[in-house]
Amino acid sequence: MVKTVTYGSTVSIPLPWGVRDADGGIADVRDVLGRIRDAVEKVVEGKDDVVRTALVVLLAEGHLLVEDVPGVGKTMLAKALARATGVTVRRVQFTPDLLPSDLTGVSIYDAERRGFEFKPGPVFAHVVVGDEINRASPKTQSALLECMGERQVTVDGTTHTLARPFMVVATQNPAEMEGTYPLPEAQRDRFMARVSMGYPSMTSELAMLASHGARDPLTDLEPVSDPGELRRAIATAAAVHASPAVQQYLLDLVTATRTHPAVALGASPRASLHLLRASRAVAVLDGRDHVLPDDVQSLVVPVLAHRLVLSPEASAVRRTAEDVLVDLLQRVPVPSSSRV
Amino acid sequence: MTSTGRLRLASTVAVLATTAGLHLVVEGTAWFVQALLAVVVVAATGAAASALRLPGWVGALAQPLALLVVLCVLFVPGQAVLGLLPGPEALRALWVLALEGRETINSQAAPVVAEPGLRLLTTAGAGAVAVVVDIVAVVLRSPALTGPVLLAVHAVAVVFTPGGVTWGWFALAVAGWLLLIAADGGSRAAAWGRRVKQRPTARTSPGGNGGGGGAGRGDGRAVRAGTGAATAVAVTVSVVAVVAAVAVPPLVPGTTSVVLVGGNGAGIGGAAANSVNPLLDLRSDLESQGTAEVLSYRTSALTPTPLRIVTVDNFDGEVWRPSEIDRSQTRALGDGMPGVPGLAPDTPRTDVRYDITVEALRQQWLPTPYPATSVEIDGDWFVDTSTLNIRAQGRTATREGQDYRVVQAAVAPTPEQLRDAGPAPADVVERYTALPQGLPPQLEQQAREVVGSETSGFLQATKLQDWFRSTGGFTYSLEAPEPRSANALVDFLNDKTGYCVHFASAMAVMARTLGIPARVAVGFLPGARLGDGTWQVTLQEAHAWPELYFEGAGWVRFEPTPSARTGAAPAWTIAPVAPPTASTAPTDGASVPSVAPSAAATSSAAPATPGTTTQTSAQNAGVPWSGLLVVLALVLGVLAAPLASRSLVRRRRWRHADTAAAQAEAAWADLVEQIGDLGVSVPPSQTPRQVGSRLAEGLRRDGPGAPGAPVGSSGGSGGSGDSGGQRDREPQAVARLVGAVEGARYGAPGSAGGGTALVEDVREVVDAVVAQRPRSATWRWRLLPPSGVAHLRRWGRALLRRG
Repeated sequence: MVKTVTYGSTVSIPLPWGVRDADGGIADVRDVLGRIRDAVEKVVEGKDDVVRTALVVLLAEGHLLVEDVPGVGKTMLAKALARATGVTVRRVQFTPDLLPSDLTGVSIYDAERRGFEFKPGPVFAHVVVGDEINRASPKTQSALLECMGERQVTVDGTTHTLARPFMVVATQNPAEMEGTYPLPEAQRDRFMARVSMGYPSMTSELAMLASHGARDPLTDLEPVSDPGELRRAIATAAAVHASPAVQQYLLDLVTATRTHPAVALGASPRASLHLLRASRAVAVLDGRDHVLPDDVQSLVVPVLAHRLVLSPEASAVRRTAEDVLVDLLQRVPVPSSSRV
Repeated sequence: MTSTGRLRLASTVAVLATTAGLHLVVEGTAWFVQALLAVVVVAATGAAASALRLPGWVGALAQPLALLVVLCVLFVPGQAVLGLLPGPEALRALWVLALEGRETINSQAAPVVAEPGLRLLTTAGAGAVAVVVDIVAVVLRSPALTGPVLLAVHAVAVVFTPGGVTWGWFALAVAGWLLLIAADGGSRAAAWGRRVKQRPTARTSPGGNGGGGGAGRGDGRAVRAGTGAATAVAVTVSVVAVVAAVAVPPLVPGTTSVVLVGGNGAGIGGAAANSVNPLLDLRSDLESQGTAEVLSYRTSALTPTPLRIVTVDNFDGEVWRPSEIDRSQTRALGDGMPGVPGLAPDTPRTDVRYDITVEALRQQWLPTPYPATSVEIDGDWFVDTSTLNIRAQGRTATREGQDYRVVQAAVAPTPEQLRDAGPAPADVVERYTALPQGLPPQLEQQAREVVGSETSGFLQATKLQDWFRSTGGFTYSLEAPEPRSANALVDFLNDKTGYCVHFASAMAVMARTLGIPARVAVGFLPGARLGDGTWQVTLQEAHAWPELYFEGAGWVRFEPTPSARTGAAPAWTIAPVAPPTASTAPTDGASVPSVAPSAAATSSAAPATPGTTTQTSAQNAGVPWSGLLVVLALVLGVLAAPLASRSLVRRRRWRHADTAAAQAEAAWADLVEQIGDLGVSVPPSQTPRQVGSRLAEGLRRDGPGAPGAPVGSSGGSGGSGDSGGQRDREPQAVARLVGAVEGARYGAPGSAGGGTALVEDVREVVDAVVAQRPRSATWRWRLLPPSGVAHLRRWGRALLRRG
């Protein structure tokens, strides 16, 4: 069955008025992100929507959950993103025997200095790629998620602040696969968005064979930005205007998930926050200084779908969270003027 | 019951409730029974079509066919195939009958006698209204819109009813309509979230299918407008209708039953035509009649007899009306006149010729002297062999300038013959001595008292006539007796004042109580002789008189109306006093010089009597055009209300738009409203940008030439227009509107761009959409905008809440 997820994809609406309100700062951000996107897309072909969502998450200082079967380029996406932005990147392969300290780092005794020295773990990079996060034990998973939430690590009583920007790109195989510990709801909630890579189209895959067959495309990827620029972009995005009407609309959508009959557990207040931040980032990507309901709509599926727990009845008839959200988008009225 | 069934039942009731109001305009109940049958059959056909799950248009087509079958069965079973299917012959017969009905309407004032032609019209009309209401209310699911249709039916009653319609009938009609709306409201269930209803006839909007993207989902849906609604539209229409019911009658000339416009046809386009109403109502006053010339004739008779139009023999205590014509008892006029009923062959008679020219008279009954033995006239006429009434068929009626020739057998039965007349045939006795139920015994007592010991029917009749004319102390008056008792004749006998209808009625009824077959004839007195030998008959000569039956002599005319008011009566009108022969005038008395004295016949009211004319008589015929115009204007007013409310709201919207943001909102509201009226629905869950992109896409795709170069989202602001040229003008207008409303709603404070130039943009976009839609899809936008209906509804609701 082919399902058209109408609102799910982050489409840019091809209309000429998108850039009306561009001012200096926003144009710069847009410029930077355009370069990053172009660079990433050279490596990850035919996945514009996924790349765009990844950029949004980066810009909104969130974390990204990439979910799909093995071998479709999940890690490639994360690496390409990191390299294009010119920030440090560390990759951790999650396995059942991975310990929390393998992530955060450990204090080891330095005989020369006669004291403990902290050896930072892989989380002390700007972009941390957690491959197959659901293969690790829950204990290790929660250690990572704590870092994601707090943006700091405490080891042996000492608190270490993580780098900024800090972004975890966790990949996850679908839960049904063997030897996995699916992420609990509370932890999924910490990811700002979830994307699925999906198989590339025939033409993209052909192109990939042609270009990547010989050597690793990542090696050709030159950084087009730097952490300082990225931090400024993040600050710009956080300042984008979200009118009360848009905020109300966003809340309407989130609260509607809590009362929808097919949903057992709706979206959390954290989800509202994530949705708003991501919407601001989308607006910036579009070169606007204000958020539109369209921005919110384009993010509802990636930002909310992985947080919903459907009721057993709805699951029984194979309804998906995406279906429910699309349904909501058609029901919840967009705020309009109350004047005649 | 399903919601459709409930709606259909309510439609049927509403149509019947409204149709019942025509009771004020059409006599009797037979027509209503037939109309009811037609309405029920139409509804049943629709229900059957729904039950079989046939598409709506099949049902809509089947209903008129079913109606046609009903009409065939009811009115022309003889001509129909198998007695029920409409073949060519049956259709022709229906057509002729319908024309006849139209003539009836044209030539009578309300209440109209429900002759078959008229009943055909009422039945077909009720059925047709039922079909329309069914389609609008059930198939299109817009019950509120049936208001104007039902109002129009009710308006017929309003316009034609003398003195207007009573509140009861109006309330009944409105109740039926409200019931219909309530049935619709009840059938809608509350739905979760905001309801966007699929309309059965939804069309896909231009930007709709295939385009993909977020916009596609809502296409083909239309927010239902105009239905449900009930309250507001109800209030609005009711107000208009009430105003109509109250205000129209006084405004419309010719709506009262007695106003006659002699000759100068008051109505717009109404021909100057008059006619005599065959209904004699004892309770109405005789009002001014005008002096229009209706007939002129030349005759060989020295003293012509009155020209009879029709006889009425069916009396209900208050109104005389013609009996239904038994078609087996008729023959075409072309086949010659039948024998004179009851006239013995050996009775001496003289042929008298009348060459008659019709002036301003439009009548479906042919005025002839009685008894006519030969009539030469053009047109489709037939004769009732039992009464010799000559009736028109189809669109035939007397027309101005028409000539016809009548030969009358002037009969002169001797008083002896009349006195010794044998008993009348049983069928004549049965039909013509029938008395209405509950006739007060006073009438018979009075009759017996007047005739005393006289036993001969003829002598009893002469005594009665004398009593009315002279010995009884009656006076002539244009006013009907005061209605003091339940019976108008009793009032007449007590008051001893009335006009010819009362005299004729009283004499006929009293004769019946004595067992003498009697009926009342309606027609014209002979009129005045002009210098050139022509006789001229005006409306003033309209008259009624009794005819009594005596075996051997047939129907004999009497004249009980006193000649008191006539002033100097011509010498020959003086009633002979001879007891035996009495003043009886054999019907014909006239022509034969030797019988001149016995011409008591003519002794009747002098021709000059202005007052003796029959009251009911001359009704200004013709359709009250100005009345119809007023009604039409009202109906149009109701229909125009949504249009007006839309533009009113729009104007108010702009008047209050003093900030840029408000202007942007106003422009956007205008746009959404208008494209909504054009069938491009805007679900509330769509953002301005989605609406805009759908519109722009639709305009670009269907515009002339290939789709415009896709405008990249990353172009500079407005920079992409350079290649588009003319073709991109509308999409750019859309873009400006979207940009403005987005800025107003979601932009940072103070960043909104408004401006009245947006009005131009709205116009441009709407025009482009109109140009793109098929004409059939734009009529609602032009004439009956759903948004206007919605405004009315809202106002009504607010009004109710405040009340």
